[in-house]
Amino acid sequence: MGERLPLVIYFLSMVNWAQVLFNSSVTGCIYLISAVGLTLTYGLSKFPNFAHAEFMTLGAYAGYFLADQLGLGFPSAFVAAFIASGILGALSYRGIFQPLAKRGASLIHLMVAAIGLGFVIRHFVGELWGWSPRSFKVTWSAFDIGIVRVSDLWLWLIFAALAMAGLMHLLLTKTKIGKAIRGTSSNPELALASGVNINRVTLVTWLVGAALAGIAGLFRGAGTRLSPMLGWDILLPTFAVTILGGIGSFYGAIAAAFIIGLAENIGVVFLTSFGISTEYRMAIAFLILIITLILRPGGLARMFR
Amino acid sequence: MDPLIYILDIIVFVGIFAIVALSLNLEYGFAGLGNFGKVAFFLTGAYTYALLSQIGLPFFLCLIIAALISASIGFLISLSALRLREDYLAIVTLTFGEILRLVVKAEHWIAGGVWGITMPSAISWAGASPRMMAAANIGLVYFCLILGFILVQLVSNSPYGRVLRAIREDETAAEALGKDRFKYKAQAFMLGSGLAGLGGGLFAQYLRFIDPYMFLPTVTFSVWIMVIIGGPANNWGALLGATLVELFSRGTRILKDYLLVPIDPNNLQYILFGLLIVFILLYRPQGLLKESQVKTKALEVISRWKKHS
Amino acid sequence: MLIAENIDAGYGDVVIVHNVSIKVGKGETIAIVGPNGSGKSTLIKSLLGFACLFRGRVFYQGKEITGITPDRAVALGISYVPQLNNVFVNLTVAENLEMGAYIRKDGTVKADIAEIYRLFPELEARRGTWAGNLSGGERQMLAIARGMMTNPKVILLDEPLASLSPKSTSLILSKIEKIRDSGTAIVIIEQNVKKALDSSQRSYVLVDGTCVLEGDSHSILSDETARRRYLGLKA
Ligand SMILES: Nc1ncnc2c1ncn2[C@@H]1O[C@H](COP(=O)(O)OP(=O)(O)OP(=O)(O)O)[C@@H](O)[C@H]1O
Ligand SMILES: [Mg+2]
Repeated sequence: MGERLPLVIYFLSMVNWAQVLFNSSVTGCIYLISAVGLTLTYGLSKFPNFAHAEFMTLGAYAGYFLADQLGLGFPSAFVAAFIASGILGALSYRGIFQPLAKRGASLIHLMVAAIGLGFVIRHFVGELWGWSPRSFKVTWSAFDIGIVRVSDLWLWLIFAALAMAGLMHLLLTKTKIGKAIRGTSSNPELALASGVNINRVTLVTWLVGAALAGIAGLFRGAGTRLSPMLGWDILLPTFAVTILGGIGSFYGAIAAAFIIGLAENIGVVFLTSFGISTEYRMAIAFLILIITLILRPGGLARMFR
Repeated sequence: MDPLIYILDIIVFVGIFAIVALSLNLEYGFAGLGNFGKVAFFLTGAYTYALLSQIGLPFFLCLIIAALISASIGFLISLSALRLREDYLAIVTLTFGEILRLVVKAEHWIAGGVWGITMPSAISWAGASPRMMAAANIGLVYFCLILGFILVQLVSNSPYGRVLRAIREDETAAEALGKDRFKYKAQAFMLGSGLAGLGGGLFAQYLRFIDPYMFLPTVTFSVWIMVIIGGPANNWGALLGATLVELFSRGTRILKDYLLVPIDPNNLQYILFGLLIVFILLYRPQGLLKESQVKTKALEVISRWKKHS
Repeated sequence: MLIAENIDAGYGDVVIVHNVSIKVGKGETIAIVGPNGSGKSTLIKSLLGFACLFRGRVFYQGKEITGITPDRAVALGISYVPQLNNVFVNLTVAENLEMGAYIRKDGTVKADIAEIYRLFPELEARRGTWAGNLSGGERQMLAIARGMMTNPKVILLDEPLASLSPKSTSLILSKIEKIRDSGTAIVIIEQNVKKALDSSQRSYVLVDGTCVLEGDSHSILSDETARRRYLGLKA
């Protein structure tokens, strides 16, 4: 390590930190879109839905199907991802998780069922589209803004994340159902005593959450490649965001998404400068997850509600 | 392929996974711990075995050390993780499995990274036919399985096992145990991890080659199916589950070979597994075999136990 | 208004309340008192479907509503303010009130919120605050206010005075009186026997899940044996 140190310092001094910052926000945006659904369904249904990963995967492939295989162009992919994953999420809740909860399934049973569902979807996708990676036909033009290299896909992503955050904020604070979602997630009994139809509220949340997961999957697929493992590959950071942000907290998730995006990108810079495999990128989210659970299991939610 | 060898091969795999299923049954069935990273301990056992056998340690020592190292990793994890809520424990163990796989994949110097690692045959003698080798493997695996079964059976039917169940049934009643509650959980977790490590060691020993792709989360999931199908908290159920799942997964592959179904057997297998588990949880959550003993009220057990000790 | 006859209630398969009957009429306040764990909360919860109702019948405005679910009870005009966790901590004060009016479709919600703020000016001052950041007294007021927002004909208050300062206690009591004066029937659960009996017309004393005493609050308060035996008050 000793003789490597000057090299490391040289490397770090060469890093374009503005770029790192930009990349962090891109990463944060994907994690935000993917985590919103997870944190809201987790808050309402009280179990971590591991099949959320496959909601992302399906969204990506549904978009690919419409945009590339049917040739309807990339914008149509958004519609496809949103609708396909949304329907899948609603069906999963209605068909599996709601009945299980009604039968008094334990938390562990719910989690096992979620993993089982994930397997079904993942291998279904694998059967339909094969296990070898695919990519979108569209190419993204890259250009420089100042010293930062951006691609128009990333600008779209940032725009989508901002729009989503704005719309979700309006939904959660200005509409009746949005307030019911927040209220039910913190105090289901009182929501019931206020006359909230909890099943309907939960169903809507699953639908919207899964639909957003589909969008996240689409961006991930467009930015990298499509594979049946696509969702699984970003499930861990998505969980880290959910827990760091505080389960059920939308605003906590926003903060957490960017914290984890930043940590990962800065982490990667250090990993490369020390010559460690960048595959450990995933371990950074894991580390944050563990530290949160040990130091502050409630996450940031108290600061953001 | 020699059909007899094929059958012997199935028998070996059933034995290996029965050991892992027993270990999960101890943790989940009896102590109520949702370990979703079973594969991590299986992996630890397998890689420990592989590395030790490469430096020429005799196979039984490799197996024992594999189990011990796995158990100590289980112990380390349990120190902090077992105090977590059920869902957090699940997330942490699941991701721990992924991280561990990441490590053996990324660090080539440990065990060949993605290329995997081969090891010398443990059981071989001059003039041994493949059939005899397979039979010898069955002997070894089932010897371990029987030992493991007796161990788990003894533990779970002792007063100690009843305390574990009491903790599982009623966390508040178990608070009467105070800090000991974690001690019991940690012990169950450690023992379970050790057994899983033993299974991993046998797995490596039998295949004589392992790579990171053998330790996907699918392994954990399969083991969960075994335990849930068989019936948690019933050790015979774990054996039954392991047999059924292994036969089922072979069955889907045979289907491909002989019936020419136009679907990839691997996909088919996991689609069916997933559907199966969801159906079982919906319609027969207690599994095929019932819990091996009548449930007693958690508080009673605990208070009796406290009086005893 | 609300009548419950021969109620057996509990959780799972455990029976906690045995054969208790209560009734409350329009514009009346009744109190349910009793020591810790005597089943007061369980009794009330079972009427609304929050706990198991094993036996007995419940009538509301002359119609039988035995086995009703909580959300339907609210729709009929029965409001419930739980003992613990009785506000949405992650919602603002104003949003809590809106949640109270969740099922209402009439156009008078805005006017009612204004009305509530007149009754609880303390809440108006904190309308934008997260309920989780309120003081104990404010929180209790918000809980009652949320209960009032459902526009109830009967309101069930589970220990609204628990762990409040003397000042907040008298404040809340005066608010409850105002609510009664507006014609709402009130069922109030209380451990503080003196205050409960003082502020109610009739009372029920629960011990170990059975009703050991019921009747006019004033006569119970002045009854020597009752004071000593059940209420733990000095003669
Ligand atoms: N959700 C529950 N499940 C099982 N048992 C419960 C539950 N809630 C309360 N109990 C038990 O029911 C009994 C009566 O409780 P309840 O809350 O009705 O009493 P209470 O009179 O309201 O007491 P307090 O003055 O403390 O509020 C207690 O022994 C309690 O342990
Ligand atoms: Mg009570």
